[in-house]
Amino acid sequence: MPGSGHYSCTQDMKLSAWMVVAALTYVGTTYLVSHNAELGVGWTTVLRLMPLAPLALWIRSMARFFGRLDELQRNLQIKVWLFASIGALAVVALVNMLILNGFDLKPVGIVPIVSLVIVLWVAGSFIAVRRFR
Amino acid sequence: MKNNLRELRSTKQWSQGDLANALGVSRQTVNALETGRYDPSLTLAFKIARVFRLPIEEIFAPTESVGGDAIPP
Repeated sequence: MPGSGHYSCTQDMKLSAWMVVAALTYVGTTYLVSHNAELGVGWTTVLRLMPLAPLALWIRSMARFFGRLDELQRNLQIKVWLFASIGALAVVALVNMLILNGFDLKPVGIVPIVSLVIVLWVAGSFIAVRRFR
Repeated sequence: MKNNLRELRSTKQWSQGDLANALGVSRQTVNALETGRYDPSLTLAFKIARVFRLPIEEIFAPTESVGGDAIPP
């Protein structure tokens, strides 16, 4: 991880922990909502919005992480995030283009997109750390 | 931009880590500065100058003409 000097999988995991919790909450609540038709609007809304809580905590941990970085590392992280976001956007655009051209594919959901962004971010961070050892 | 950070650090017999601590940045940043792979912000350049007690222009110099009109005397 940029910031520690050496790539640390543990630090990456810690930083991504709330995102993982958000993803699991999303999967869990989606399952609950889809398998409990008798749930009222109130409960459905609460369950649907539940993943936002760990997501907010993840944003807070990312903001703290950025605050601890020095200028080179912050610069690198901006580039890594751009790489991850544009990479994920390219994949979504590619899948949509294939669907428009008659390929039998499902549109990419939010969970695979977020997972892809995280994977690309970890890969980008690893490359950045190796380049600026 | 080129710099003589490595020479200045050597004269003080500091490690990259020592300089990084003095500047409040990571060792990687010091290494990137010394190898010319990263140009510091103005704030960091002033901090470096203060650490070595030298004017900025004695540490950093442009590698080539940066363009623009010459400043009249």
